[in-house]
Amino acid sequence: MPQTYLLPFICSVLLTYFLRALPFMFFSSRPMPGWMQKLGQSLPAAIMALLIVYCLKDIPDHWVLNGIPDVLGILVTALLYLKKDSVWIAILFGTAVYLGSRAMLSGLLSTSLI
Amino acid sequence: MPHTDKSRLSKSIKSVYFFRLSSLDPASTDIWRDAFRLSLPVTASYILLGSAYGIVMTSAGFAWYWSLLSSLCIYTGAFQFVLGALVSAKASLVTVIVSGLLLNARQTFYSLTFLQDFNHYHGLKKLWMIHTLTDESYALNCTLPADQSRLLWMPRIQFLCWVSWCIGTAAGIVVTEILPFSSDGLDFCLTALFVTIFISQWKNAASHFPALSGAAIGCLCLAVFGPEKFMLPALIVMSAVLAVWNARQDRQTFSAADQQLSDAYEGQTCILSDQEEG
Repeated sequence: MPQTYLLPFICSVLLTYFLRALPFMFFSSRPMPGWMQKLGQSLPAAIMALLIVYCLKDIPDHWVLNGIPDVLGILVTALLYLKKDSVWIAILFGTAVYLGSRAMLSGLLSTSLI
Repeated sequence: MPHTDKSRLSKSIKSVYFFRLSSLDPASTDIWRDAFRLSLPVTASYILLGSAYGIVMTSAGFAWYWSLLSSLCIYTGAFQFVLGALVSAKASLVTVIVSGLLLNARQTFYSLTFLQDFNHYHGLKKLWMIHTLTDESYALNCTLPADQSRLLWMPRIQFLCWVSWCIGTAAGIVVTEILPFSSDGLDFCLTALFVTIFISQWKNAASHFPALSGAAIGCLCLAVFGPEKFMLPALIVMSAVLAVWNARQDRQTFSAADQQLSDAYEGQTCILSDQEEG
């Protein structure tokens, strides 16, 4: 295994570092253009929305089993975060609701009640 | 004494409800402790996901040092799994590089956000800061205050995330030898983390257009490109849309300023003509 993993490993290390360092290689010495600065400021909110979509990307595979627990978990997380203003409580209970509803649903599905 | 006990108690109660950004005090002597608490949702999930990686790699027959080195030096969750799968399937080097490029091109966009912040660091530390920026440490960095104090938090948060990913990997390698393990479903805590960050960004945003466009473009690209390939096109389309939107905002501000100037000018001429008439 080492012989086959060595070369892909080195390529991957170089590639991931190159992608991360790309903006720094071009704009470290000279100032970054204004449009790029503005883009950097408005990207985070958009990327966060995209990351949520990414987390939910498997819902179309199984609307019931993947969809319901995710939606319930997100609703509980969002409501708790808005009410309690605590990320911790929101994540803890949101994940608990997600895991619980998923276990229940897969149990129901496996006993073919649905 | 009871007073200090009480204040300590209220402080510890606060720390349970923590994550209010105002509680991040740069003068605090416990920056490490606060950074630890701030990054706990990520470090906890990193230990779980990292151990899942260690388990997968070890069961696939890779030597322990390859998984650990990958977690230390590649340090990008999804691609590490893909790399292991590709090498196991004896895929060509080109396949490895192309999938790495597609999976990780988003890292470039993350770096773009912190370009100016990271330029405050120098030498090896800067190189290391660039290396340890991931989806989740990016998300945590986004929650930091906008002033210079964020420079204190970022390296600590990124260090804790990096270390917990590697500890998780090591734990997974060890656990595979001892007992069966399932972290199935626990990765939802990452979804929950993104949701809370999204809400706090939403509350503080001057305009909701970036957030809404991210969600809309994400769903659209998911429908068009499918779950495996939609991230990169979505990022490119989103950046283009936001760049155009920013330019339009600029133009609107300019035209608004023009309008104000001409209004003021008209007002003056009115006053002048009034005076003449009077």
